[in-house]
Amino acid sequence: MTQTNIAVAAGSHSNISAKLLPLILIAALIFLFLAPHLLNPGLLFIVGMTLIQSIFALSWNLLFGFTGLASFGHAGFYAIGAYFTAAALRYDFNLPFLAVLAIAGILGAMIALAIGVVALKRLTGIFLAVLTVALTEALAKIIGFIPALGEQDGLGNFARPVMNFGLFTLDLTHSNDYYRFLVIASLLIIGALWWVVHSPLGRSFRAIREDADRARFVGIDVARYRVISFMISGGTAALAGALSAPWTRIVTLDQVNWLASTQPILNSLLGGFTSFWGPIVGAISFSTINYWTRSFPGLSEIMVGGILVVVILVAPTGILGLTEKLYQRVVGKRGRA
Amino acid sequence: MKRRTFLKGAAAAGAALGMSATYLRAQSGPVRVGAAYALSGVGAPVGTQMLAGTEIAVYQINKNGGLLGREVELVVRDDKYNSAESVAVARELAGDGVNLLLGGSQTVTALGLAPLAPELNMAVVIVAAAGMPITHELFNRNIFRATANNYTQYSSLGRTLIEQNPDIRTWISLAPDGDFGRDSALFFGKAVEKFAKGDKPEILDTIYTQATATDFRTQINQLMSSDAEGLYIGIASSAQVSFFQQARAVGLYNKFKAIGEVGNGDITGKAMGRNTHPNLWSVCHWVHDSEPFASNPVSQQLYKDYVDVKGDTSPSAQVAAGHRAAMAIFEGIRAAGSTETDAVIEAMENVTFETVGGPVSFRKEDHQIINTNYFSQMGPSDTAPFFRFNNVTAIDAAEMIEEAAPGKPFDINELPQ
Amino acid sequence: MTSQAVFVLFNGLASGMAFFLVAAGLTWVFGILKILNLAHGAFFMLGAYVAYTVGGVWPASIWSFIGVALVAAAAIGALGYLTDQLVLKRLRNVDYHYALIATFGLMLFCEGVAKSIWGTDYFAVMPPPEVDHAINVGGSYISLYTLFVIATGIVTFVALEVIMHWTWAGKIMRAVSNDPWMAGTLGINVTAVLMFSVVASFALAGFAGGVLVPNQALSPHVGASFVLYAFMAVVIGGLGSIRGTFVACILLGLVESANATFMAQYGGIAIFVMLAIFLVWKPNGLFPAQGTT
Repeated sequence: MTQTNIAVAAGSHSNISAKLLPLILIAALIFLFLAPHLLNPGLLFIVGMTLIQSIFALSWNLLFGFTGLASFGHAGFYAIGAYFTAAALRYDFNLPFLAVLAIAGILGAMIALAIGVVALKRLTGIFLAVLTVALTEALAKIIGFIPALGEQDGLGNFARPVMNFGLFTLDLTHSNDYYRFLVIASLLIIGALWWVVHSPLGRSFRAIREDADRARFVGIDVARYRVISFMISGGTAALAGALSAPWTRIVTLDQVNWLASTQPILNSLLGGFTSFWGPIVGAISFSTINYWTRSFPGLSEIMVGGILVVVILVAPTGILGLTEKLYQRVVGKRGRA
Repeated sequence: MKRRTFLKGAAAAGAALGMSATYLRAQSGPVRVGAAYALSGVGAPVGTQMLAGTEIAVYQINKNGGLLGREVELVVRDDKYNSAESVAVARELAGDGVNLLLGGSQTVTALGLAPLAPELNMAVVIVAAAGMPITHELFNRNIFRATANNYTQYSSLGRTLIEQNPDIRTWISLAPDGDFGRDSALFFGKAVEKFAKGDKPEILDTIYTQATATDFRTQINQLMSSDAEGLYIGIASSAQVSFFQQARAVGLYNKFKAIGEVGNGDITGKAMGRNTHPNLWSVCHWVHDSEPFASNPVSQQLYKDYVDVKGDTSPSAQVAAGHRAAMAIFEGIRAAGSTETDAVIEAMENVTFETVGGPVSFRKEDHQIINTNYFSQMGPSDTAPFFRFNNVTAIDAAEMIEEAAPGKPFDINELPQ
Repeated sequence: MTSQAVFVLFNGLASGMAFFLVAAGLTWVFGILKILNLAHGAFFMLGAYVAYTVGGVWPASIWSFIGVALVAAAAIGALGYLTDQLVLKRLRNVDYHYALIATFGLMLFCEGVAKSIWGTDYFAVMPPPEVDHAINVGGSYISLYTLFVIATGIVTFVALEVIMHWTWAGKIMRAVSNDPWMAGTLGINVTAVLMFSVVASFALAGFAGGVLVPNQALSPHVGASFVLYAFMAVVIGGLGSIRGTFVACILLGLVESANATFMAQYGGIAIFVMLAIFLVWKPNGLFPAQGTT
């Protein structure tokens, strides 16, 4: 499977997407808003986590699927957002919650900027992969040194925020209320990412992914756009972490390790990294598999590892890529380019 | 039209019947108790053993007619030794209608679970997490701790070690950096000082390391260079085994005449075998063939059923921890005559029940279990499994427990000296 | 102070040589196949388990210990052949990102399999009796096994260097890694060479597992602690350069040991600082090379 085929698949707007996508989106929106009434709290919790994982996976795929850079330590950004938000809530920073979220996102973006400016100019591919893993491990160690962040036990024991807007307050203490906030916030973030990907900025990213040298010849400042992509990706991942902290009400070092970093990779590949919606599809699929196999403990490593290998070997373009191929075979309209 | 109306009516009736059947079934169906243990990841060796103990308790109670005339059904989940996962699992079980949970088998999972119990209207028995916050600043009436806490356990360990090895006058600790490690070494050291007879022993500064490290040679070198002859090790699971491997190789066994460790027990024994330190003391939940367990009828029955059900003749001590927690919930249900959360909570505050180590009960103010704490000494042996328990001593928890102070953080310096 | 310095030196060298035993195979595979095999640590772990199963907990002598390590090497080499046929071969001509992700999945899979086969109990294998003593060097306690690990690492490095630069087999492998197309045109059976290299590098991982199994507790996670250091060493040393990896491993070992001794409360952080410095200063490694050198 070559780069050109991927390019064709990614660049073209398929017939499936055009027809079904609006319907699917509307159905999903209806489901999300009605969920607290349809589902028990346990399932609602899983829906919320899936939303957060979707944003996390989207942030990773912005970098990989759309700019051609693989980060293996993305959990670092997630952890930055999560720990900052947890600390803000636990130690009463006295900031409005929206400001906390904004700062978390900016923190992620700033750190991505620092890493990007230094690393992305000289390193790609494998070096970037190793650097991102090493930095996340270092972050985990640093968090482990700080007693205020709970060290090995994690940071918990904080309540969900109450948002004061002067004229009215939004009490998010109860999970159903925070859930609705989470849905709205997620939709806004996903919408913003969609806009970025389909904007001239997004097209520059894709040009760089296709062929960095050609992009340079065309006049695109490759290094600069890579850094911008990295910043957006890091900031969004931090936002995902920030939104997750009040949802789970505890943040631990488990969210900063190898396995946590593989989650967005798995979700993006499973769903199909060539499409914008792939990571979301992957996150939903993985949550579903996780839920079905919940009474078979001890299988998680074999399952996650096995899925990754099988997906890469058999269906590198993931679920959406497969459905795309099937659709075209069924409809028989056009052969492969 | 007619058919449609008929079908709709039939569907409605069916739904109504189904719902009332569910309700009726809930009242007469099995008693469902949730069990969330670490069954994968680094906590798995301990979690799987605790689950075995809980499963045996369920087996025993169903053999004797169940609870309230109904069968007991265990709903098992893997919390992956991860606090976020243990939260997810608790919510999922609550959503599924389970209101009684055995969970928080280790501190890291308990800390996430504890604040959640009131919100989910669950009665939660924390199986083996010893961290102080659970009966102090994180306390709420929905949680019960079915094991001794950090202060009781490690003070008692310190006391045991100095009482059993009174000639050792200089002690040192190796602890993981973090609240639990620092505290356990501190409690150990203070107890050694307090319960020594004669001249006050010297407690050297604790040496710290990372709980997840695999190479301890630097710390071992520092230990070897110190003047101490007695040692407390606060690192657990595979790290402790690595420590012993590396320490033995440089002659640490000859230097330190007595070692107390945080609670690996047979995990270290099985791994080290003939290379177990000859005077290694540990927190002990159960040694089935040593007194006082050997004569205890609950212990005898647990061992017999364990062998029958699991087909294995050397249960780990952790089996008893899982067994004890399950019995707490069962006794609560029995005494309350119901499975409703509030009734069970009130009942558990007032029950006393028998475990492999004798009678236990919960302190009303902070739901801390009051039991007898056992400490075992182990060493190498020439027959399989090449290690054995030589001695088991006991200390009544009531002697070594702090005042109940739910809601307030624990500070050792506030204790009467 | 000097006794501490002596200790840091020996301990650092031992850690470094342990990293090298694991990293050597990794850099070799990269030099020839251009794949960074994230599952390398998992195969190291499986080698350790095989050595435990075959050799038991008390090696009879140093020779039986080395023999068992070679058996582990053979077993993991065979496993490597299988993995190559099923997975790695298909990743040779695709974007390296796929290889990274697929081998990562493979690593998780192997850990799960090890857990299913050997369970979750920990095992402790002892060093062979000849090296199971300690000596006192300038006030520090150093076990002979530590010296054995250092010696093994150096011998392995020398052997690899000799093979790569002084034998015809090594010349062919370097030719293939430098320019596979050209080598093929010259009549070299490129596929055979690639396959042999894969098997050899996995065998090296298995050998490392057998040699290092007395170093720490044996669990399915034993590979994870080494693999991160191995990657850092490979990247600092220069991908594909065995010399570079050797030097980088020594540096990493010394830095880690110094960190643990002199800045104990911030243990484990110095090597990451070092990695960051190297990646910025020498992004292509200490010995940037084309192919294996």
